[in-house]
Amino acid sequence: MTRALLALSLVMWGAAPARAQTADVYYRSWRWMEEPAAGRAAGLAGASTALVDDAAAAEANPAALTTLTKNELTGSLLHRGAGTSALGDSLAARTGFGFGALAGRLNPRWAVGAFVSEPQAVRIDLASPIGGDGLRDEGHLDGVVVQRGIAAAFRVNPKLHVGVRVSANHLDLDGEYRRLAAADAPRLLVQARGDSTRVATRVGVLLEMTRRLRLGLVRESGARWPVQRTASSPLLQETLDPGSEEELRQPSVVSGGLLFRASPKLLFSGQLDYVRHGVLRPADVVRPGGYAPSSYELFAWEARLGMEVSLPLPSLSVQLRAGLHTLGRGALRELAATFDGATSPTAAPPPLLPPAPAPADPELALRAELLQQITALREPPPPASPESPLLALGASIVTAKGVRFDLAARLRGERSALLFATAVRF
Amino acid sequence: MRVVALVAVQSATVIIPGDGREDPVRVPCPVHRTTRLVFPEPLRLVKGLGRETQPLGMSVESLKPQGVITVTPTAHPARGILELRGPTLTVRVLFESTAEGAASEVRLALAPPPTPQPSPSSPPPAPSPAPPAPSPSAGFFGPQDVLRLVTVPIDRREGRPGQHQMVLVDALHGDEWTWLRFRLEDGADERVQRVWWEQGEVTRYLQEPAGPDLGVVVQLPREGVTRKTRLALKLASGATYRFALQPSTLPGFLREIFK
Repeated sequence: MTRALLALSLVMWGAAPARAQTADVYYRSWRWMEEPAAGRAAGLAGASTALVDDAAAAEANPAALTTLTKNELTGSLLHRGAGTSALGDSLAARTGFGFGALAGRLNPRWAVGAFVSEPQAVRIDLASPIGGDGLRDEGHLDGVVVQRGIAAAFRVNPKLHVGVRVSANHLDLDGEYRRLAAADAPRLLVQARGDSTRVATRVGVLLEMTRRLRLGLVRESGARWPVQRTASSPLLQETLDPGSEEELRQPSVVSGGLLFRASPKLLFSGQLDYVRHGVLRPADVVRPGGYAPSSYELFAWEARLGMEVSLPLPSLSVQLRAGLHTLGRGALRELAATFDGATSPTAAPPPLLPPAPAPADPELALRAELLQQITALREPPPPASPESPLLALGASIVTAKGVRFDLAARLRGERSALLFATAVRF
Repeated sequence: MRVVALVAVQSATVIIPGDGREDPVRVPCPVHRTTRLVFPEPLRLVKGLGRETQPLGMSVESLKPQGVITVTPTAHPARGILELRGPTLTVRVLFESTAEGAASEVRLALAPPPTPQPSPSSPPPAPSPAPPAPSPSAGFFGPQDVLRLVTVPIDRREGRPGQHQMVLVDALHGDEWTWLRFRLEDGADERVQRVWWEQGEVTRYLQEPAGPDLGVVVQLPREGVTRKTRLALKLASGATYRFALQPSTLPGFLREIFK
């Protein structure tokens, strides 16, 4: 494949919503997408960087904790529906814990909060038709990230708040794919396993520009988890990768949000995220039988916009929310000229098997040819078409005693989601 | 203790000898009927309202220009003693429920001073001094109150989604009164229609627009203000706000739980 064609395919791949982590096949439908699981944020499509007076700020923007008017305890259940990725892989449905938080002020200047969330939970079942070479892919990737964190905020002056959040992010990953013909044993079997916890931090600032206008800024360093990988050829009874370590990277995010309260009954929230997936270098991603990579940096811009209407009734209030989330188109920046070949933090992967001279024995020659085919780098999948924005809808009932019940739904995209949350203020 | 007895009539005036401190005035109150007691001065302090007087259904109807206490017993027998203080007068009143009777009004009045007899050789009596001007303390604020005020910041917000936020800014504690300052954000066009707390209606409050907000000051007798005090304000638009008088913080909540 010529260099130009490779660059072109990567540009197109990069222009699609940011997806695969490394070049192994089972990552091809994996995506980092922040799915808000707090009640209000979910109905606003996640436009919560500048949202105030909500315990979910412990996760979204810790600086906003000092805007809490009362202590708050909240929790949610999240149902992710079944779906299909842009590449045709199946996404399994899943129902589980979404988000929980407890937050409150210590005094007029300090506030603290603690939270638990499950920002990523997916099971991907690979589904590939038989290719022109008579082979197909089978496999799955099961990945769950659980975040537990604490946050603190300080009110510098009546208008400026700062905050920091530290979270322990646990990854539980199990992946496997097989490349096989109809009746043979798999020609290639790759397995990955990850079970570790890493710390990530998020710092935030909230500026109350006027009583109606607030600006929020947040920066998060993404967590990085080690994943153990093995590869073999059951057909040839060969070990291709006895054990190597790769890295699963959560992107870092810089987020800016604006909140405008037009009246006590109407609120608008907007947010722009700069999502940086990091640099992938050949030394990081070359895997026998995987996709052909190159050195590039992948980043994406994502926009969110939400609206909230509050209707006070005699003994309770009803709130209605709607939001839009445009997924990042991604962008490619060729770093070949700047790549300095610095040592990857992960262990050096096994080198690609170079073509060996054809042995005299025909059987051995066939075996060598098969091995070459199995370990050859593959063309990456075709780029997905740009996705339409995700739509979020939500509603809440707030009683006079300070109890809130939330319902939210995320529509369109690869799969829908439904959330039920409740919060108590005291 | 000598009790000055009074026969209940539709309307009656009771003369109080001296300052009345030693002799409670007895006022019979028919059950399920309202008896109004009119104090001859502005009321500065009412002592004795509490759980034991709840069966008497007591409430302070007004504090000035004359204090008015209404009593509507809901059970019989029931009794309670209140101490009423004005700028110059202190009276103890014993309220007792009766099984029968009609609604009535009882007015308390001071006995007129005796007229002195002039002697042939004594100089003509000096003209009576003008009655003292009402003490500034009888109004909402007095200079002495301001000198002794202790300010306690609270910053407690109440209001459901869709309502204007009302903020209890702080409490100003004087010797006999406590003033609570509120701010209704962006509520300059609103008006407070009613204020009440666990001891009944509150009639001493002021309100005026302050820029885009509505400022409200509520006066409560300091002795009645405790950690369990709850105050409610209702706007003309119908929104009601209920306040505890402490800031809402995590340490405060935990203290309440483990107290």
